[in-house]
Amino acid sequence: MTTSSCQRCTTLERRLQREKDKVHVLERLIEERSATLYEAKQHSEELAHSVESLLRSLPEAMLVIEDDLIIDCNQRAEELLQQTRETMQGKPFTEFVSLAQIDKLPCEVECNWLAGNQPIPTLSSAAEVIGSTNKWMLVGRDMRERQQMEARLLQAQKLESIGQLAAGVAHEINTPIQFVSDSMHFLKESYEDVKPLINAYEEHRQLWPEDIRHHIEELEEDADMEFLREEVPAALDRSISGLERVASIVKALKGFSHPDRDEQSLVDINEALSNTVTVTRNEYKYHAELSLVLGELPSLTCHLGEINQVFLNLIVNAAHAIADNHTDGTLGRIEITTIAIDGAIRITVEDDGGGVPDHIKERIFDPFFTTKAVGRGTGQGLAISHDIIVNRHNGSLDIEDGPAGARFIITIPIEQEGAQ
Amino acid sequence: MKGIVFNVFEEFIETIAGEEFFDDLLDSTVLQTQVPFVGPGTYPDADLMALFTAAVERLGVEPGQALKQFGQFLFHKLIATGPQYAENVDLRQFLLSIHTVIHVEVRKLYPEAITPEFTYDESDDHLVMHYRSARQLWQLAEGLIIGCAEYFNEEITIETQTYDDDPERCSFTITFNGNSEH
Repeated sequence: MTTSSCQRCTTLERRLQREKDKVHVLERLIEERSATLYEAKQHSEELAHSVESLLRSLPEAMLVIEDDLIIDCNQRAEELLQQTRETMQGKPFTEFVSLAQIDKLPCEVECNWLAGNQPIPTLSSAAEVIGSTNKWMLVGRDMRERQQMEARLLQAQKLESIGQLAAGVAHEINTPIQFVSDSMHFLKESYEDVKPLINAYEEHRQLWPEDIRHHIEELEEDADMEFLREEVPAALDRSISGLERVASIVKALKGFSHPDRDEQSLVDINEALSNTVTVTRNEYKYHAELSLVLGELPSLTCHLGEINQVFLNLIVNAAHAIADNHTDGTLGRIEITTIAIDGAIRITVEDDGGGVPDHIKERIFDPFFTTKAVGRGTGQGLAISHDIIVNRHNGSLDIEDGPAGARFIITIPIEQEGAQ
Repeated sequence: MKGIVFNVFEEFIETIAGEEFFDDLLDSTVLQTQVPFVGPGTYPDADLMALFTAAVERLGVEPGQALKQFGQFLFHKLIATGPQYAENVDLRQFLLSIHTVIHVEVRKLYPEAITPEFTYDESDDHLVMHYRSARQLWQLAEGLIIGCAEYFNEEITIETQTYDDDPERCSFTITFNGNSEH
């Protein structure tokens, strides 16, 4: 073997060794890269999972839109629009959102989202998806709860001012009524005192001189003394009875308009009901007779003003239902019963106003749902009542069919732990 | 510096001076790297510069010219690993895509790769490529552009402007003279 061929062999051996070393290095690199890829994949999957969880738990509904078509949405959007993700994908977003105002992105606008034919008031924001020119995202916040709270606040403020006014008026009326009432009692007692005297005059009339007796009899005839002797006591009794009624209305008004502080107080539910019945009498007296069947109840710790508001809503609703149902002018019937049962107080308000169809029953406690004509109902009364009983007093408000109408059943636990 | 550049450099030296020359070069040069250079690996810039400096000294060639020739050689090897990037484009389009396409693809494969920055000025007759790199290897970049023109069979003229106050910067004004086969 020559020197040059020997040198060539050495070179080749060194090259071979270098290439073998390279293979080892490359194998290690591949392993490292595989491990890195695996970790990156794991990390990506975890990230995707957390993003998905985040999107699913978002209280806002989210739609991803490409070329005006929905390509993705989150769970809240499915719930809000009552459609599955699969059915929404590929549909134009305008089928669900009336967003004529979107002419530039990003924007924020109050608009309605459409679940079927039902408009849902929503605060929407629209923004481009980062890194995409024709893809954008629509995020909507359901405004119903906020609007309901605003309506409730408004109603509470209204009731508070009416309550303050009523309490003031009741106080002002109370004082004159008191002295008028005292005076009427005084008159009645005085008349009773004078009656024996008048009887004595009558008995001894024959003893009087003729001319004087004749003159007195003429005066008696002019004054219609016979009639007065019969009617004055009756008039006094009627006046006293009327005054007692005014006094009871004033007392009921004061009780009903009790300023409701945020804390709860011990309340006699029967008394609260009686007060509310008195102040709402004008609402039902032309359409229905109202009977109260009050059981023996323990005192209940509750928000009196709110509870009164619930009673008022139910009585007014019953009166409206009867008015709509009894078109022949016959009086309907509202029966309110109270009973303490199973650690709770149950109040039942039943009417004969024809009842509520099943398809309406499902939505009757939804905010803004109303079957009443515009101006007669806002759809807030039963929603607020439901909120007051369920959320503020841990109770339940249910509706069922009565024999000739609707029966609303309020159940409030006597123990009010954890109530708001 | 990526290992592929070291491997092409080895091939370049072997083409010019033979396999034994490169073995001697490896034996006589002090390197930070103790393992063989492999394409996907990343190695100190200083190692390539040490090998390059030792090679030009032994061969007695002008370093700048040698770096340009290496760039020319390097382009043909690099494009062979991804010929699809040179399809359906002409030379000018390819050069314009270096920063926005080629370097992006490089970083996809090798996230730790440090690529030079290119900005462009265009006119009908010229394309000005503004190079910036902390490595200051503008001769290598020039060689790559020449190699690129060869690949596209186009005649070009390059006017190179360096900046004394900023050695990381260089501008290449390229004039396109048409197809080199005609």
